[in-house]
Amino acid sequence: MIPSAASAGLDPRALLAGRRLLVTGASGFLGKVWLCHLLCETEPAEVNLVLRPGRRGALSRLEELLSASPAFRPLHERYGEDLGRALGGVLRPLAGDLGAPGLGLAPGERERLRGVDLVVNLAGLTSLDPELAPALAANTDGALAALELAREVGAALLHVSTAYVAGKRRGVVPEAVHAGAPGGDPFDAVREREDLRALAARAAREARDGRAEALLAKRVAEQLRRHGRGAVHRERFLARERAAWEAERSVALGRERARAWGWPNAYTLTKALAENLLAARRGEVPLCVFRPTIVESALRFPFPGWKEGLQTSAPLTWALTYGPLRALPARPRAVLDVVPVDFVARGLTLAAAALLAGEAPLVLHCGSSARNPLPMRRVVELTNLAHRAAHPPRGWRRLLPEAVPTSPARYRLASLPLLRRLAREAGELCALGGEELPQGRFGLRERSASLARRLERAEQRLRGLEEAVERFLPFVYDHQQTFATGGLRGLEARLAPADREAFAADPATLDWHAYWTEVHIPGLRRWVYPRLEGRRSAPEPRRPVRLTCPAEARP
Amino acid sequence: MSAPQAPLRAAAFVRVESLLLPDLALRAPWHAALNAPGVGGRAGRVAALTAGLPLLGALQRVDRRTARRLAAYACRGLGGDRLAVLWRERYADLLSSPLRPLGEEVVARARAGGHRLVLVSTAPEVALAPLAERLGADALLGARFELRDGVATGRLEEPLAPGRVEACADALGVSLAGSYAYGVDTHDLPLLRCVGFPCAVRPDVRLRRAAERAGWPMLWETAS
Repeated sequence: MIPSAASAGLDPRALLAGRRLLVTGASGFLGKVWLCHLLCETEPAEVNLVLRPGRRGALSRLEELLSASPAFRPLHERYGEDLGRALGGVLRPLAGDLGAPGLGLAPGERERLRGVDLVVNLAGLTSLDPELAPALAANTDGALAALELAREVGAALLHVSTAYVAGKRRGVVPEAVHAGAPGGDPFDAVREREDLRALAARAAREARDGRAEALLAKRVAEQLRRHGRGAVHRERFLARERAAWEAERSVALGRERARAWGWPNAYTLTKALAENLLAARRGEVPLCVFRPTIVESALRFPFPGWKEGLQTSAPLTWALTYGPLRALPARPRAVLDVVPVDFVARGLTLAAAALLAGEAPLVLHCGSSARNPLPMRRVVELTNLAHRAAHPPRGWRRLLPEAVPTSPARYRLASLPLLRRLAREAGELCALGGEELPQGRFGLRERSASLARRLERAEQRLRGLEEAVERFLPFVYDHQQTFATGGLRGLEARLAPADREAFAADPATLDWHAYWTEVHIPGLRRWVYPRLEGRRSAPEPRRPVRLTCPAEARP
Repeated sequence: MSAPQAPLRAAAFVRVESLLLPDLALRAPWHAALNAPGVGGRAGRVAALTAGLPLLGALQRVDRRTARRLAAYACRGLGGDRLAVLWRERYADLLSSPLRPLGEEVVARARAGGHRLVLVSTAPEVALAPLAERLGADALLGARFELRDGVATGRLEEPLAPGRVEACADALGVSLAGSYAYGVDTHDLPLLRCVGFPCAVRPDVRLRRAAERAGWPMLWETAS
């Protein structure tokens, strides 16, 4: 009897061996971990990496990544000083730009890519509140360019999206391309893409209209006075202020537009647009949309606790422990769907293998809410406990309260917004003192002015935190979703027992207490919190890598 | 013909509180109340425990089991993760200090007799796991907080709930009829009744009466 495709085995090593891949976004957090996993566990013949060349070229950029990023530690441990030689024949850095037509690849290069088996599009702008133009270019146009390239070279496309394209849909979110907007309104992706372009142009136009000019002129005059600079610097200050104003306006317009449809932000809107357009235009190209949820630090691979980037839960957990946030607006039972990056990397390799076997579903979720939900109440509690383990409370610190989840109304009344208001009021009072107090021998006037400046900086920091909390509010309070993950579980069931260790990633095996308190938060403390505090994390030993690449790739 | 069955070994069921370590039945909930997250939750629990302190103190002499169950109610609403950490914290210093001489003697006797050692405690198992490891215990029967959605309801699941002792004896391959048990309060009555050699150690009032009625031996620590 011939086994059905559903019950037949899946051998990722055999399916990826000798294949030619093209990858975008390999320099990102997930991209690096997945690339390392791919190179450690499988033997592809060629991995073409589309990288922004910068000033020194794509090859230098790749060598710098391999030399400096801790994500490649397992490869260094395996190959030692031979790493450059071992990977030189496999990795091909290509200068490109995701936002440019044809991924910005040279025409000759596109010709050479004919016969590539799989295009993996990991690139994207993951900021939760991005400016519209770059978000559209990276998240939507880039995905479409990857599809066209896959069509041109005869490859399959594995597109990495986000589970949160579901927007404010409630209940169990199926593994399917969502028709319509989350709010239920009919949604035309082609038209929406044009409308978003028009919105981005509007932000640019508004930054140059008469009203904005007048406001900016006033702001620049104030800055020049404060910095003690002359009128000769006016144009430079004005250009900087105008760019900031345009960015702010673009972010606000994008957020407003996304929320009107039912998405939490422009990031998820542009990702959803990409999915809709890919599904409509795929034609004969084999396509799989891979949707991870919130990608957090590694459980084991490349090593426990590895994390990069400030976009996920790091700002919140930092504010709950080291910062002033003691009441987080969060629904205690709302599930925060986080998943360690190594689980995502394994799922992605599995999806790539299934796609090459012609057996991948159109959409795959990779998250924890269906198998091992982590409610917000527990997230806050485990964050507190991880902090407690690192800094046992002693003396008067025992009296300090730990963070709790609360309602948005109580949060606005008594948490960060109140602190910010107090800082502003006190700052204004001190500034007044700095101007009105008489010059005396106690230096009251100078002290008052100095205190006003410190309070102003504190207010700015609190405003930044408040904005981070607002960005997270849809994920920790509004949304009540469970992402179905039957697709990946089905693929895992087809793995041979010996392959499960390398490719299976069932979140049901996660012990949240151990992961959060012993791996995740200590990892954030090592790799991410220093950046949030404006410091550099402790340096990782640099292991220089010189790739022995084919001659044509060298600049 | 079936092979002759190996004779079942005996076990010594040793109650941790009062025998090996001081009883933290009231101090551990106090620690939990003082370390509850949030201002309101902490203040409410501390106030309730303070108000109930005279009653709990009196009950501790007469019926430790009821006192323990009442004190544990202060943990209602706290997460299971926090309770495990707080109990571990509270026991950490205690576990690194010397054990009570009477308890050490009981454990040494059990070991000398070739008995399996089972620690019985009203504290959560997670708090006493290091002690079980230190003494090389074969099993640990501890309490568990009843949790609903990961949050404590304030009720304790007893370590000597029906069937747990028998299941433990089966798992270890020991005969209860040939086993020893050292209990300190009424909580231990079910255990003392099901073993062949029960013994009350520094019993509270109610256990002392029960031991006198049943004719069980009693052990008292004498000041050295």
